[in-house]
Amino acid sequence: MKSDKKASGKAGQRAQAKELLRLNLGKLSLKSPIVIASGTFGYGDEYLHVRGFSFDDIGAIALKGVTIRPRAGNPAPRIVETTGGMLNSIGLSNIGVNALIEEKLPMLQDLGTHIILNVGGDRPEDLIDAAKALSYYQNYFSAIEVNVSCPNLDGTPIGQNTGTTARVVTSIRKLYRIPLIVKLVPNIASIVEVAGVCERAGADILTIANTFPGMAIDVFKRRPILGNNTGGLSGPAIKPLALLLVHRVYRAVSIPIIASGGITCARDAMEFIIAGASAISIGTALFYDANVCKRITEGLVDFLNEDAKMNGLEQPRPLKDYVGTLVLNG
Amino acid sequence: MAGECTVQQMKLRGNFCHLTLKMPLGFPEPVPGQFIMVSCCPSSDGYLPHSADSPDARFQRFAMGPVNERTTLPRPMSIFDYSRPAKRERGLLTLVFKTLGRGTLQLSQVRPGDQLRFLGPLGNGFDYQGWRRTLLVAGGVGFSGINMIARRLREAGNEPLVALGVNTRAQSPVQLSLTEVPSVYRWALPHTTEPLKLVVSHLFEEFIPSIVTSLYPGDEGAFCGTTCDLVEKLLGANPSYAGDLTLVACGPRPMLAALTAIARHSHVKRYLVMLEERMACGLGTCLGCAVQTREGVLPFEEDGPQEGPTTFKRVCTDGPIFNGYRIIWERLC
Ligand SMILES: Cc1cc2nc3c(=O)[nH]c(=O)nc-3n(C[C@H](O)[C@H](O)[C@H](O)COP(=O)(O)OP(=O)(O)OC[C@H]3O[C@@H](n4cnc5c(N)ncnc54)[C@H](O)[C@@H]3O)c2cc1C
Ligand SMILES: Cc1cc2nc3c(=O)[nH]c(=O)nc-3n(C[C@H](O)[C@H](O)[C@H](O)COP(=O)(O)O)c2cc1C
Ligand code: FES
Repeated sequence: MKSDKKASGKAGQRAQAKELLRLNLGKLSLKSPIVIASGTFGYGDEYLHVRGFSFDDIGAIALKGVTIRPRAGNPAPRIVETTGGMLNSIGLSNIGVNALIEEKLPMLQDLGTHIILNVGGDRPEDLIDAAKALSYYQNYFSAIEVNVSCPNLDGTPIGQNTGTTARVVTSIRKLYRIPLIVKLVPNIASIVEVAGVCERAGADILTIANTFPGMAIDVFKRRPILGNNTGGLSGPAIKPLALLLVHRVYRAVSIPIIASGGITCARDAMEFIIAGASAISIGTALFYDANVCKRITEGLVDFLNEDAKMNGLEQPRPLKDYVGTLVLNG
Repeated sequence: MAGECTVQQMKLRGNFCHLTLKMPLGFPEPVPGQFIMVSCCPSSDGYLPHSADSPDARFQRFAMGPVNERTTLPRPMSIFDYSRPAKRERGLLTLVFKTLGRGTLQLSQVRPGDQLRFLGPLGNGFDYQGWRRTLLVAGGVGFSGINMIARRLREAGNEPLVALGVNTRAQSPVQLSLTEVPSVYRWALPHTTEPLKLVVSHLFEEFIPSIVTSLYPGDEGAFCGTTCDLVEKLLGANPSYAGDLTLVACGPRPMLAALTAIARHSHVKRYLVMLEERMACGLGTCLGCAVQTREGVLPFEEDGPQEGPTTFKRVCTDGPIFNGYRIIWERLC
């Protein structure tokens, strides 16, 4: 009996601890700040069958990007590990909007968490068409993420051009009642300018940011390793770069930010939250450790308790109180 | 299953590591042909993920991520062997791998008691119910992909012929020594003109008989040449075998591609290859491991590549075993 009581006490503590992590991402209420990054989780169903994997620690899942028509993607090899990261040139290989509607919609509810639709496309019209085709089904999703920043498509990403980005966001805004997220290009002269344009065009949330374009070379063959020659760099290698972008954008806009880029542990997550992110996205880290979300959740709770103790507080403060609390030197 | 397993034993043999892992309870029994993704977790550096809340452990839980762990991606490894556990016991899984780069080097440095992170078993195993005559061909460390199927076939009373190709016998992933040719192999051997001696590979007291091909003429007991030379010779001497033969190959891509041509002109009924490609998720979600294959019904697949629709398949979830006739090798080699 005694041990039973202890166990339920512990469970209660854990539930209480998890309450600390509840956050609002605009209109969305997330049970955890962790958003699974698009393209690293498929459509989520594959993980339902992985024993030991828990959806409990996940605030939302961004689905693999879909385009108006199915895309085969780029030639192999499509991925290569680099120091502290990886390059991918998947090329937005996906099943297309029709297959998403027919095959995936019914099971999305089973995932028990917020589902974010992610749309992509080579040209602005393709992106708008994909969003249009799915707008009828928007009630299945908690938000739509517009990817104007895929580095693996023909030509420069839409998000490099402020005017085109504004046009795409405005058009899609008209089609959707659910929150609209825009995923920005990281390597751009002024991310602050594009962020501002997106906000004015009606974006509710920004994801900062997508992968950085990069390359790896096979020195014996003197050829790029990736079949598509170049790819997008993700993983810990880009974390400081993404962090600075989040910091800059946070000071320039008033809509919430999902930070994406190299987050692998609770400390990374805290850095982004303090810099101004309301949620953090996990992509590449999931490959290394399928249970990384659990590890980050536990680490965040530890941090909140520790920080409260250090500041002589009786109760830990909720995570949301830390958003954007960065104090600059000097 | 995603979790952590414990290193039970680590043996180094030249460039090859035999790593035996104690899997957690509830680890699903793997089917021959399946693989796991492994990576060193910080526990190998003294960090216990679920240990008591010592400040140290807590700090590491807070700050430890792949960046501290030297590789960003786990490594796919074929399941070399798996011993079924008794009830309530933990199963033992063996990997045999070659140290090449950062990941395998790191894996080769683990010690008994270390924890490794794993995901698996992954991929589709062999469906070997209908197989009759079986020839398993391994190039070098490709042996780790076919060892388990060889064992299971033998347990089922369907003794396979196993051909292992090495550069020199000294560079074999398993220990080799000479013995007599068991009678079960005579289906293949008597008709060959070459005086083939059989080499038996000993591995920790267990062995899988195999013909060893060696590129080095001085290797006693080994067939001098490549695995392709051997297969060509076997099939050339016994054309009727191809009709109900299952040929399985695992090894370097040029070998697999060359065997495809041989299998095709010898009219081998079933030709299966185990493919390797760079992987990130292992679960079919990242689409990183895609290879191009030819689709549609190929009218008995010996007739050479037909023009036809092609499609991308994921090695991790659509493979790693593929119909060798359908792979577009020009794109891969
Ligand atoms: C299904 C499957 C089963 C495998 N089974 C075995 C096995 O039983 N024994 C064995 O020795 N090897 C096996 N391999 C190959 C093994 O995964 C690579 O040798 C290993 O990943 C190399 O890692 P590294 O860090 O030493 O090399 P690096 O060159 O430093 O690796 C850099 C990146 O390339 C990837 N990579 C490099 N070579 C390969 C390759 N041949 N295949 C896939 N990815 C590669 C790595 O995973 C890593 O992401 C298998 C591969 C696959 C796909
Ligand atoms: C294999 C792979 C596929 C990806 N596919 C998409 C995609 O389809 N749409 C998208 O918006 N972002 C995609 N991304 C980018 C990720 O969502 C994420 O923004 C990026 O990887 C940086 O985060 P990370 O360092 O945590 O991985 C992909 C990333 C990877 C590694
Ligand atoms: S490794 Fe990710 S799809 Fe195969």
